Amino acid sequence: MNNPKKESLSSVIYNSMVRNNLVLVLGTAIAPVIVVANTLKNAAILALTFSVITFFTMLLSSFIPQKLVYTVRVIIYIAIGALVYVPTAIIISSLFPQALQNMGIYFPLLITNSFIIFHSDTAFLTEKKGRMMLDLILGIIGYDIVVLIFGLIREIISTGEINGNVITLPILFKAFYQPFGGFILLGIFAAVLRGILLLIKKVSN
Amino acid sequence: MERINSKSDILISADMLIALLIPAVIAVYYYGIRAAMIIVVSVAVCLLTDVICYKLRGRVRVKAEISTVVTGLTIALMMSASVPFYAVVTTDLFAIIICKHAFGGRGNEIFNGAAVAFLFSSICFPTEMLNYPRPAVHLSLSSEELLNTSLFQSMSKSVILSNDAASSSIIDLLVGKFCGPMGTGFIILFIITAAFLMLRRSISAISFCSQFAVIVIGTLIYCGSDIKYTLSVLCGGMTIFGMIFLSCDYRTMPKTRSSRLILGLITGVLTLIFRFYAGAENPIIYAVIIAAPFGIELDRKMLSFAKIISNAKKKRTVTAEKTKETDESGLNNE
Amino acid sequence: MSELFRLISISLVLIFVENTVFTKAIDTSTLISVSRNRKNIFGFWLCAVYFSVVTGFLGFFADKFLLESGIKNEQTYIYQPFVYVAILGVVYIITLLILWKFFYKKFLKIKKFIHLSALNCAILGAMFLNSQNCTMLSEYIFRGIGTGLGFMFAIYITAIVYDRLHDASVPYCFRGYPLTLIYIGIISMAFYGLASTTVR
Repeated sequence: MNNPKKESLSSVIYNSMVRNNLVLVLGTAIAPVIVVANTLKNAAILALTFSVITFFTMLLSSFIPQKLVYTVRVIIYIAIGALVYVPTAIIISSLFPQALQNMGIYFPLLITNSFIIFHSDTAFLTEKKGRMMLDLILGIIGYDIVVLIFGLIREIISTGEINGNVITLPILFKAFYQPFGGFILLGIFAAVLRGILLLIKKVSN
Repeated sequence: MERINSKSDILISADMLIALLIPAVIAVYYYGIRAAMIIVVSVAVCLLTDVICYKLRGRVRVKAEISTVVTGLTIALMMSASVPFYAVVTTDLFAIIICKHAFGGRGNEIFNGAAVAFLFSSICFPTEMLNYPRPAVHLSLSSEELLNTSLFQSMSKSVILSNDAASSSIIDLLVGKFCGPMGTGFIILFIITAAFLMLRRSISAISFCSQFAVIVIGTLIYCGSDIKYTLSVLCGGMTIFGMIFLSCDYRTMPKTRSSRLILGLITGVLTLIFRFYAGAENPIIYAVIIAAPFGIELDRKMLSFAKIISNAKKKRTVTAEKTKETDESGLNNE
Repeated sequence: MSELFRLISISLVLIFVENTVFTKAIDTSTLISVSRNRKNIFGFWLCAVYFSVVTGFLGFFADKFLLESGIKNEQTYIYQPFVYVAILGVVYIITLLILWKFFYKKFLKIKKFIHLSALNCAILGAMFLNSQNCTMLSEYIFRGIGTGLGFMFAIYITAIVYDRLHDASVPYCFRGYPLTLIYIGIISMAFYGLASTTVR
């Protein structure tokens, strides 16, 4: 991310999607993951809404001049997010009428997600447009993959179902369906990813 | 600071183990072979998980480290005698992996592992964990026979629902002969145990006494000095057991006397609030978990406060010495 | 008097039992980043409470406006966020201007974290939750106070163990962020268990 000329595409993908994963490493927009992504279906809807809102907000935000003070600029980012939200909400609610009900207040709260507020300026908006777009898309894909896997595993271990289809499991951990279970499971996920990254580093060394 | 910090972990754990073995024997006497099996499984799973975790972390496990056995035994005694073994195993795994090793292992734990793991399992398996057989009904190991055993709500729950003292006689209450966790109700034994552990300085006397005083006085005020009701509160909901083995656990205790006193008071007050206003079945579990982080902060504040006082004292003595010297030199000049 | 007690109890419930972080995970990311630096916590707290109360107060009029503007009930959720963000933006900019004009030294100190305390999910989330649960202006204000103080409580309870969660003895895989999540999860579990397994 720092030196675009030296980095190969695979390392860009690895850095954006895995090493700087938005959920498991940077801790971005984790509230909807913890509360909403408790089934595969909910996770898919969250991934879709997050992708649309974040992508277009960041894209439009990149046109805001960087000379403007950050303390003021950040409110413009959020205002853009709120504008992007309106058509997104209309489209999503017509495609998936139940989706907005499932997400509740977490759908509009995506406007002020920490990715747009904290990380946008430090990691993305200071880059060149092309590189920014690549990093942004890869970052969002990384987020979506984690959310989907998280939702799937959470649904299996807490309800014994995959997308509503019952699978027979000897024990179900109902606690993981709740927000606190989401916190604990996400913590375990983050630890596992760190372990994998450590292993990769050891092997490559 | 109390001697508790200078005494080795192993000796403290040994004392705790002795204190836990007696209720374990009584639990086996009340519930038979199944209780014994739960205890064995719990301790074995805890030990095995601990060994594996140490290996994975690349650290050497002290062979004499028996705090894991204490955790296993504590968890077993908090269980219903009819609990399925998978619930016991889940609780043990959560206590050792998440509450102990994820937090950095011995000496760095924030929460009492047994309390957190019990809460986690009771939310995962509420029917299995929070329904109890009658005492003195020997349970077999077979799960088919277990299905025919009638299970009841705990004495603590019925006391909260009826808002009246337990229906059991006072003698039964004192000897723990009522529906509830298999090893947490023998109040007479636990008071003797607490005295023994306080004399041996294996639990903090100041913390235990402050908690005990708050809970007893608060309950007496709430129920209008009804002794049987107070006894029901102390026996049920793991109150006394939790005070000794969960709240006063040396692994999560603050270092200074004053912070222990304040933490004891906080835990006591929280227990009362959760018991009487929230109607929690096992209020001490929640109180212990929520109060734990404040122990760390209290320690920090008290230590810095003590530092400020000692610095002020030093300054005062230095200035006093200086004025004495100048006075003396003045007198000599005269 | 009984009305005042009811309002205070609403605030207390929001601080402890229905804490936005512990029960709804709202703004956990901000909480994790703020709990790193204990020096700025007090200023952050004050700002968060101020913004939650003021936006709560203005949120009441915004909801009234949305209700009276003829927008269908099921479409409110589409336009509500934009109205709320506009309120938040106006309050934020006016606050910045006042601080810059009259308390310049304070402004320089607060500048580092004021956007974190104002433009976060906790404040915006509180406005949405208020619109779902409140009908009177006093309720909006007291819920605002409760949410702000609840957020403070969550930050405090995380900040006091920051050193322990980042200690060298913690396994590398868990150190820092993963363990913070587990820690918040455990505290959240205690509050959840208390609310759900209670007998009465």
